[in-house]
Formats: sequence, C-alpha cells, structure tokens
Amino acid sequence: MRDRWFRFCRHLVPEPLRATAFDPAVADLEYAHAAQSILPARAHTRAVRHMRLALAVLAAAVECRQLRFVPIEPQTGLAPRHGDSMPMTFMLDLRHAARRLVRQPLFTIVAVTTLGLGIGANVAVFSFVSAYLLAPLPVPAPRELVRVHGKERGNDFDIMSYPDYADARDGAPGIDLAVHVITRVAVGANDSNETRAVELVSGNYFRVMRLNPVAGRLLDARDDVAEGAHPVVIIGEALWRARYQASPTVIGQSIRLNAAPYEIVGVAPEGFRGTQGPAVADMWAPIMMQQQLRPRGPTNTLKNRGWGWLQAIGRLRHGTSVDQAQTALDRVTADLNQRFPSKSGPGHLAFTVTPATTLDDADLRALEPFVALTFAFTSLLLVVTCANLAGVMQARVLARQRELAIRQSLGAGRGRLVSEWLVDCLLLACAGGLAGVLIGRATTLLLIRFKPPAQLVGNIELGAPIDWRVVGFAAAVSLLAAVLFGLAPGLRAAARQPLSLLKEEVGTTTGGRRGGRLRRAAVVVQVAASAVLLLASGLLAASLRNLQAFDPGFRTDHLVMVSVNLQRQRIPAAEATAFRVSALAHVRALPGVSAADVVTYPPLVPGVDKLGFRIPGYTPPDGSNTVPIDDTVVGAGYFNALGLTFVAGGPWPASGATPAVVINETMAKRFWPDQDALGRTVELVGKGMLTVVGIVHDSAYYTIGEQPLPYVYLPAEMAQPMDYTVLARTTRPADELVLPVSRAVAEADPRVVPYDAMTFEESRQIPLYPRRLLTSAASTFGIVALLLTGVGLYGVVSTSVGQRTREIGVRVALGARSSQIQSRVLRESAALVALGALVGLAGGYELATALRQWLFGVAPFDLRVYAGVVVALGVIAILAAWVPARRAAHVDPVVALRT
Amino acid sequence: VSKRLPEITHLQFLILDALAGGDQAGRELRERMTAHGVRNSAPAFYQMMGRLEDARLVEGRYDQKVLAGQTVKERRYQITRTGSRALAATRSFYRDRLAAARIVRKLSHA
Repeated sequence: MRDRWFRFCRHLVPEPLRATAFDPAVADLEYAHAAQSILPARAHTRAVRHMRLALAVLAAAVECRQLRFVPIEPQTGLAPRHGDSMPMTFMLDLRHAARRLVRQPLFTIVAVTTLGLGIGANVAVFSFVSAYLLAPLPVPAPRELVRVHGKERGNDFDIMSYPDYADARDGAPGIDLAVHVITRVAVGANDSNETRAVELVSGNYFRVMRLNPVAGRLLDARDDVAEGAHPVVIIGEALWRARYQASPTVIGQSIRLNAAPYEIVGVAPEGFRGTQGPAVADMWAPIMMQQQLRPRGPTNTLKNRGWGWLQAIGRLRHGTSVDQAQTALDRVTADLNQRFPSKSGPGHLAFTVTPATTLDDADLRALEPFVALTFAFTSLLLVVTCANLAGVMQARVLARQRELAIRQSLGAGRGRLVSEWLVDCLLLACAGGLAGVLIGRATTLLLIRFKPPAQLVGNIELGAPIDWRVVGFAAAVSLLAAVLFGLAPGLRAAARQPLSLLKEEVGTTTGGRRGGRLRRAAVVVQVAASAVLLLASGLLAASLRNLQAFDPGFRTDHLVMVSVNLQRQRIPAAEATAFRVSALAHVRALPGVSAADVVTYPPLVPGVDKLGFRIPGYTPPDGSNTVPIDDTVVGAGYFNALGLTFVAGGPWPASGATPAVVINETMAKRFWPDQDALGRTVELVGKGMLTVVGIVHDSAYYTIGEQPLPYVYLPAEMAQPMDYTVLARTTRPADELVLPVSRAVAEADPRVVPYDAMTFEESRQIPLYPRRLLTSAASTFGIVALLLTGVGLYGVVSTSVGQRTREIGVRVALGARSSQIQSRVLRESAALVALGALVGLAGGYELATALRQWLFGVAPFDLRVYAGVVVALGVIAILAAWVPARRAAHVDPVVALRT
Repeated sequence: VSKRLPEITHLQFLILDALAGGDQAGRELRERMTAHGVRNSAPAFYQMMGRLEDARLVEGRYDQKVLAGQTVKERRYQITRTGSRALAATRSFYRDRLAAARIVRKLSHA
C-alpha cells in the first residue's frame, strides 16, 4: 500500500527531477518518520504518523512539479533569492495578485464593493433561510423532535383542539407529544402598560424539550391537573436578567398576569425562547390557565373538540421512526373520525408528522413563494454584479495584453496564464465574499428593524446569526461568482495567439475588437437583468400603491380598536349591556376621542358571519326560503365613528332595543330594485321582523377589491353581543390613544381583560407586510442593479472611445462633424441598452406572470410600468454614454493621429 | 591576487564550506542552512545539490542504516577535488578583498 502510494507520488514528478530531487527528499521524510517513533514526546498514534508521512510525500511531489517553473537556484552568477522560501507557484501567484490589487486601490475597492453587493444580498436572504428553515430548535437532540399538524378537510390550519391533542397523545405511545400556544398578556398592576408574550404549554412540554432550569423548576405534570388551578409561571432567562437582575430569590415571588397573581416557580435556560419560530416567548404558563391568560375563543376551550388553537410538538421515543409515529396517529384519527363524524364526511381529520424545524409547517408553506421570489431577485443582482465584473476584468485583460503576449511568446504555457488569472479572480472573490458577509450582515440587521406590525401572537423577534451555513453559502457564492466573472476573459486572453495580439496592439485602429464583444455582451446581460428587477419592483410598487390608495369607503386613520370577550371572562349575560354602556362612556369621555361604538366583525379583519334572512316578496333563485346575508352587529354610533355615510335614512336610536336594521346600497338594489328600500321589513330567521331604517354607501367588508355584496348591520342594543371590538375615532394620532382606550375599557369592569388593542392602520398593515417587504427588496435590488449597469456601460463606452481615438481622429480629419461623432457613440450605447432591454422585458414578463398572486390592480403587462422601465434604462444609457461621447466629439485629429 | 569573480554562489559556498570538514548527510546540510536563515523545501534543496553534482563539485551516494527497527536511506555528500578548488578560489578571492579593504582603511587613517 505504502509503496504503491510512493510510486504514485513519484509518478507525478517530472522525469528529470525524480532521482535528483524527489528520491532524496522522500528518504529524508522516511528518516524523520522513523526517528519520530523513538521520540516519546512525539508519540502520535501510528495511524496519524503514517498519514502525515503520506501527505508529506505528496507535498514533496507537488513541490517537485513546481520546481519546473521557479528556478530557485541559478547555476552561477546571480545571488540566490532567500525570499523565495516556499517555491510554490500558487503562493507566488497569490502574492503577485495581491500586489496587483493593492497597486490599483480604486479598481479593487470598486470591484470588491460591487461583488460584495451581489453576494451580500444573497447572504442576507440566506441567513434568514438558514436561521428559520434549516436550523434545528435550540434544545438537546433536536433531530428527534417532530411537529404534528392537525388538518381538517377544507381547512388549511395546522392547529389542534385540546381533546384531539389528548387523544393523539394517549393513542401514539411512540411519541411524547406536547402542545403550546403563544399569547400576549398584561404584566404588572393595572396602571402598568407592559405586555409580554406568554407561551401556554402542556405539563410535559419541558420534558419533551429536555431542558433544565437555571433556577427553581420547570413546569411538569403537577401543573397540568385541573383547569384554572395552577397560577404558576416560568420566566425566561432574558426577562430574569432584565427585570430581576438574575436574583435567585425570584423563585416564589408573585407576578401579576392579566390582573391575577402568579407564582414564579422557575427560570428557563438561557437562549430558549419557545418553539414558535420568530414569535418568541418571555414566560411559560400551564395550559390549564388558558381561560385567564388567553381571553379569546369559546367558553369551554379545553373541552371543545371543534375549536383548534394549539400547536403540537413531540419527541420520538427511542427506536420510533417518523413513519411509525405517523401510522400510530393515523389509527388515532381513524378512531376519532368514526366517533365524531362531521358534516364534511368521513376522514375529515388527519394528523401529519414532520421533522421539526424552527418554523412550523404552515409558516413554511406561506413563506415558500416569498423566499423563492426574494432569491430570484438576489440571484439577478448577483448576475448583474458578475456581468459587471466580467466587463471590468476584460478591461484588465486588455490593459495587460502586451505583457501577456510577451510572456506567452517567451514560453509561458496557456495553463500557466489561466491559472494565474484564476488566482486573481479567486482573490477578488475572497475579498468580495468577505465584503458580502459584512454587507449581508448589515442588510440583515436593517431588515430585522423592518419589524412586522404588532402581530397578534407574541413578540416577533427576528434574528439571523451568521453561522457555519451562512459562511459556507457565502464561500460557495463567491466561488461561483469568481468562475462566472473571471473565467471567460481569462480563457480568451490565454487562447489567443501572441503574435496576433502584438500585431493588433501596434497596428490596427480598432484594437481589441474581440475583447469588446465580450464586454458588450456583459452589458447586455446587465441591462437585461436590471430590466427584470426594475419591472418586478415597478409592478409590486404599483400594486402596493393601489392597495394603499384603495378607498375602503371610510377613513382608516385616527381609528383605535380594542377587543373584549365577556363570555370567556365569565361575565353574566345580564351584565353585558351595563358593561357595554359603561365601557363606551369611559372611552367617549377620553380627551381626543370624538366617537366610539362596538362592532362584532370589524371591517378588513379576518372573520366572516352570515345570517339567514327572509325577505318579503323575494324568492331566492335556489328556491329556499331564506337568504344568507353577511352581517355584523354594531352600536348606533358605529356609522358615525367609522365615517360611513347614509344614502337614505339614518341609524336607529341609541337608547332602547329597536327592531331595526341598516343595510348597504348593494342590498337595497338587489332585493328592492327600482324601489325605495327604506321602511321595508326583513325577517331575521328566529328573531323576528326588522325595519330598514337606513341605507349606507357600500364599503369594504372583508378584503380590499372584493365584489360588492349585500350587507346588514344589526343593532347591538338589541342583539346584546358578548364578544366584540370597541372602535374609537380619535382627533389625535391614533397610536397615542391605543393604551388610554384599552384602559378605559378595562376600567368599566376589573374582571374584563381587553386584548388586541391597536390602531386600525396597524391591523390593516398586517396582511400587507410581506408585500411591502418584497416590494422594498425588489426596488432596492433594482436600483442597485441599475446603477451598476450604468457604471458598466460607462466603462464599455469609455474604453471603446479610448481605443478608437485614432479612428475618430481620421473621421474628424476627413470632415466628420463633432455632433455626428457624438451621436455615433450615443447610438452605440443605445443599441446595447435596447438589446438588453428587449431581452429583459421578455424575461420580465415571465417573472411578472409568476408574480401574479402578488399583484393588485396591475396586469402583468402594464404598459405604464414597462414604459417606466424603458425610460429608466434610457436615462441610464444616455447618462453613461454622455461623458465619453463628449470626449469623442472633442478629439483633436492632429493629436489623435500623432499618438 | 585573484581578480576573477568566484564561480559559485553564496549558497553553494556555504555547502562546500560545510563539506570541507568531512562528508555529511543532506539532512544535516539542510539543518545547517536553516541556521543561516535559508529555508528551502527538501526537493528544492536536493535539486540544488543535484546541480552541484552535475558540476562535479560534490559527490552524492545513498547510505543505509537501521533506525528504530526500520531500514532507512539517506543521501550523503562529500566534496570533490574540483569542489575543493572552487572553495579555495572563492575563499582566497574574499580574503584578498578583505586584505585590500584593510590596506585602504589604514591608508585613509594615516
């Protein structure tokens, strides 16, 4: 084995050096190897020593090969070069390349920054992908963790009801299954405005996570016995440090959560922030305390099989595979579906098991198109930067043409020149990769500040640390970039006949024509990629503008929303009216509030309600005797507070329970065409006849841009809702009044805990957030790409003018006017841009069709956006070509022909 | 006084000077050169020794010995007569230069 390896290495060495250089060197290595085994201080294992010897022999062979290129010891005459201690060509090339880069600082800075931008954008996006899609959860043995998704047919949520969870846990012994859900909770005394994210967890949650407390204990089975009987809480390590200065005496202290006292029993380990991806938890409480800590949902949440609200995470017990766990859960669901048949038919419930990553499955699916698009944008930017650098590198080849030609004629091999060139590119790529990591890091930090609007669940805390995956990715992208931008010019330079190069340099007037072709191609690629990016950003920005500007039929600013659920707070129905009146009186008394009332389904907030109506004189087309109509229950002051205007009539009187309704214009036209709807009656099935007292203009109900639909407003004074939102119109900026309104509602009854207090604009921004992020990404990358393209174009035109100075001189001498010369140069630039734009817009159309789901009010082929892109590219083309064109126009024929 | 420049380089002079005291292993010669701040890789060193052999300034041969139970080879070198002459010529060149320099210094002090 050993001899065979030695023979192989010897074979690598050029024949004349085998006996003279290689053999004695190997003899020395073997000597040292044998000597090592008698030195106790170097008593490595035999295997390590053999491996070292094998590697050293290979290294000797490689060094021998390089001796061909670098004569380290001239036979006579010149003094030996002591500096060349390592005659490795690679190291020499590296040193030369570094020197070349240092000698041209401007080029280096521009090239490294350009490359850094392209790589940085990719690194930034990838660091999020790595942190949330690839990284496992920060707990021991994360590979054993799985998420279990409960899916009902026709329903896309990944959530589970508590009874379903209990059945799954008990029916699948191979998997230790826990549930968790994040909620926001008011912390401290009543006048405190601090809220924290609390994760409600089942008693086995921390066992599944295999965590140990920093102090005290973690939640366990004893906290999971009876509903409402375990007022204990675990605090997070960060909170422990910030609020309690890491004091160990915190255990046993009391903390008020949603106005009730809880005992702190333990501190969670450092770095653990829950299992819900970017929604981080500050505290953990038993799921048995859900009624107090999570005021939304039905009354008997823990017994309600139809109410899905939990996320399940489990650990596979030793020896159980994901498939086995899945089979066990399938048995559970088969049994459940048999015991609880649903309307949607048999087999409606299904549990699926997937390995756990930081994000859960639903988030992943929602994110997928978003991440794919963002990567498409960043890749385009990378293409632009690489094309830009390819152009710049081609210019460097041109500048070194003479040197390369001379070296080639003196006998430098083609491979030698290419490898030297590649070292240049590699060095640039390394520097660019480093810059990319830095720029990527900065972008990530910037993006993290782009926080999602106050979401309904937990704190969103995005963090994307630079880990080995990110660094590996940056290295891979840099290498790819080096090959992309470096190889073509290098190969071209080396492939050419030195004689032709020398001739071209000296003789012809249109020197470097062929190199120019490559640079032009690079510009076309850049223009095309920028056009695609600009097009995408233009379309997205137009959609976002359309969405923002869309008039929902009422003013969305200066509006505050606070929700309450009296049923869950166990407030008797008899007290509902008193509470509503008192809460509204408190809110209306606030300075800065001009109007306020209640609504069960606020507009543009998820949640649909339909009630069956009978309308005298109207028969539905399907022959049934009732019509389902979308509805909401509102107070009489709601129309004024929201700013809905009446076509006819007005609201019902605020005092007393009048059997009246307000309908919208579409409903009036649908059921009483060409007649006056005012004063007509409708029958709410099971509730009696209601008189239409007012007709309001149509507005947006569920989403922006929906088809007009009939809509009914029922009086809260009559319906007595227990679960609603208080909507307040403010005269001061709405965000200043969110807390006062929330407190005013709470003051009406200390038992009530208001939730989801926010401005209406905030709630409206939630569905727009991904769109906004995507638009700003596309715009930023588009602008950067456009600027880079401008620089690239300037380089090409400027070099081409410089090379053709003689030709231009001849033309001027023969009588060409300077305007002719100038327009010729501009035409050249325009032709390149036109070609690139054509390719880019065609490709952009493809991307735009893929973007369709993100577009609103803009067709994939929107003429204005396309025209805008063409104008932007045209402006860049003129700007980039203007200066060189002017220089060309002012060429002095005498000077040009003399040089 | 010899006027001609020496035909060997500093490095070659160093080797020949070392071998003037008796034959040595390549390994020892390399260690000695390292002490003088010359750090060539083993192949580069032996390439240089090969050239000295080609110029017949030194003679090389393989020696075998047993070390820690293993039979190992080592390349040993001894200086040739031509080598000794080149060494002597170089030494006398520098000696003369040194002597000339001393005379010049004395004269300038006088």
